[in-house]
Order: sequence, then C-alpha cells, then structure tokens
Amino acid sequence: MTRQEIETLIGSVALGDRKAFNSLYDATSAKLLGVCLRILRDRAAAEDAMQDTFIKVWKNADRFAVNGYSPMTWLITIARNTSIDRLRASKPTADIDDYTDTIAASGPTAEGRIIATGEARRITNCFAELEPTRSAAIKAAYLDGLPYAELAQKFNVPLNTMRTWLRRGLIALRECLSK
Amino acid sequence: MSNPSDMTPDDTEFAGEYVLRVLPEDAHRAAAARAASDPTFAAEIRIWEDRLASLTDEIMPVTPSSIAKTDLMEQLFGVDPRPSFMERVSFWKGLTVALSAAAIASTLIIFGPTEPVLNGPVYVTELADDTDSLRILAVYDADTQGVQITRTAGAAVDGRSLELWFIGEGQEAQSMGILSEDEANETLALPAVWLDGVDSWSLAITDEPFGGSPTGKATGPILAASQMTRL
Repeated sequence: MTRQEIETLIGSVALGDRKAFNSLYDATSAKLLGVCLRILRDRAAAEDAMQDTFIKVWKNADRFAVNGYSPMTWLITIARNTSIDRLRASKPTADIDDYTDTIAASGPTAEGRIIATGEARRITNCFAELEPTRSAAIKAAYLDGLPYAELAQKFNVPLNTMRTWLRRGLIALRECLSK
Repeated sequence: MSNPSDMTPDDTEFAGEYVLRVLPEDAHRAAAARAASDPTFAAEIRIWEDRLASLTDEIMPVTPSSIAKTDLMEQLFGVDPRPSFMERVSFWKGLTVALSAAAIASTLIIFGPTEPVLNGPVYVTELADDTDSLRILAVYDADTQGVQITRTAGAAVDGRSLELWFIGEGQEAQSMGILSEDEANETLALPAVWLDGVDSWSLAITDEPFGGSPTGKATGPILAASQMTRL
C-alpha cells in the first residue's frame, strides 16, 4: 500500500469510517506489531500495545491531517511510544540523580558520500557511516526503547559517555542527511 | 517562548533525545513542555521522528493473532464481525445439554475423582467435538482446586497442542494450560479464586500451536466447550 493510500485511509478514519479503519488495520498492523514486539519482547504485551495503538489512531485520526507527518512515521511513532510507556510502567524508573546535563561538543563531520536517493536509503547509508558504537546506541534507544541509564549499562560505559556518544551520533546523522 | 534564532545545535540534539526517549523523566517532561510552546522545537521533533522511523525498516512484520483484531473492534465498536468466543461457547453448550444428568453421573462413577470423600462442591461435564472424535470428561473438585481430565477419545494434531480454558460467565477465557500429549488422565489446577463470584462457568478446548497459545488468549478453533454442572 502506498503512502498516498494510507493517508487516504487515515483521512477516512478521521471521519469515522469503520471500513477504512479495518483496511488500515489490515495494511499496517503486522508492521506495528513488529515494532511493539521489538520493544516489549513479549507477544501478548506487544499485541495489547498494538491494539492500544489502533485505539489511539481511531480517536486521534483527525489530528493527523494537520501535523504534517508521513503516515507511517505517525503510526510507528504512536506504536513505539505506546510500547515504551508500557515497558516503563512495569519497571522502576531510572534514578534521576544519576543524570547530569553534559553538553556534547560539536560532532565530527561524517565521512563518505551518500549515493542512494530515497530518504530511507539515505538514512541507512548515513547510519552505516556512523561509528559503530554510536549507531548501535541510537538503534538500541530507538528500536529497543532503552533510556540513557540502561544504554550505559548495556554498553558498559558511564552515563555521560553514553550521552556524548548518542548526541554525537545524532549530530553526525543530521549532518550526513543534510548533505 | 523561543523563536527560530534561538535554536542551537544543542537544541536540535535535545529534540532528537526527546524523540529517542532516552532522557530521564524530568528532562523528558521539560522537552514536552517546550514542544508545546515552541513551534520551532516541535518541528525539530517531527523531523527527528521522520528520520528515525526509517530505522524500523529492519523490523520484520509480525501478523497479529486473529483474536487481536476481534478484541480491538469489540473494544472500539462493541460489535464483533465474527461470532464471539462466548457465543460459540453457547452453541456448544446447547449441544452438550443433550448429555443427561444421569449420563454425567454414571461417567463420574466410572472415572470419578480419586478422593472418595467429597466435601467442597464438585462440578462435572463432558467436552466433546461434533463428531465425538474428541471426548473429555472433566471433574472439578473444590477441595483439590484442580480439574481432573479423563480423555476417552482424541489427541492433538501432530505439532499442535490442545489447550484447556476456564470461562467464567461474562468473563474472558483464562488458560488452564495444555493437555498432556501422552497421558489420558491428568489434573490441571483451577485456583478457587477464579470461581469467586462466578455463578456459572464453562470449560473449552482449543487447537493451539505446539506448546499453547503464544498470546495468552485462544488463537485456534474451539474444538469443544461445555458448561460445568454442579453435582
């Protein structure tokens, strides 16, 4: 299903069209369940989060038209945030005192050249250009839903080092994408 | 409130951190508050959401169980496009009413509970599919908090499992576990609290992937279901 078709479906859902909602579910639920499952790592919890995602989509579809998102970004963002909310609700929150606000120095200029055309290919290529630890940290944060405290544990570095890695990774990524 | 000239590279990365949700809760809330009052910062957030969503390209889609969709539609619209679990149970209930109390009582004598002295309530039913290729006698004894299963016919298809479900009236089915592949006689636990405030209840058998439903909810067809009769 094309971006345009999904946009049209969300537009119809905003008007209360249940048939369009049904089609939207059929077209996107497997992808969104994949996203939820990656974060929650439990099939039943992921299906619940995926259902909650669609409940939010049904109730907020009218807000999609004005926010300028690409439709899949909008759906994935809702699914991801819903899953992270669930994940963190079941865990004690990180100790806030562990956190100090360090400001990353300007990142290094990304190396290499972008050859691909599409945005997805571009981001894939830009990711490949990042230092492996930085791309791994960004992926663990985005795809697995880990906060700084847990990323630092996972990569076995101090919290501030993790924050520097991740922020430099983001800077390099942005610079690469704006080339 | 900030204006576009206030955006520094640091702000941009802060927006990225907000999207990644790596920040501790207080910092995350501060970023959310800023997004609400600062359109430039909000736009940065949206750009990061778009950029990072491409990372999910590496995630393989996973088809949800069919029951997830049914549940969702029920939650939203209160209607179910297909017959609900309970409706299907009622259908089976109708069929098994054909079993007379006398027949149940006699099977209880044949296969009856091992405890000779019965103090708490005892419930019994026979679960059978429409061709009688699967027949299970189920006896619940409140004293042992278990359902004694005696399978007189039928088995799971190769590579599949038979799962037993407890359904309190008006409640969702709760798994009691899968039936043993080899043992025709076994007892599955049924905690007494499940029966608290439950007037009538049923048992059901579904065909599930090997090892049982991966979702905690029935995913396969109902092979047999029947209301329990109190003796």
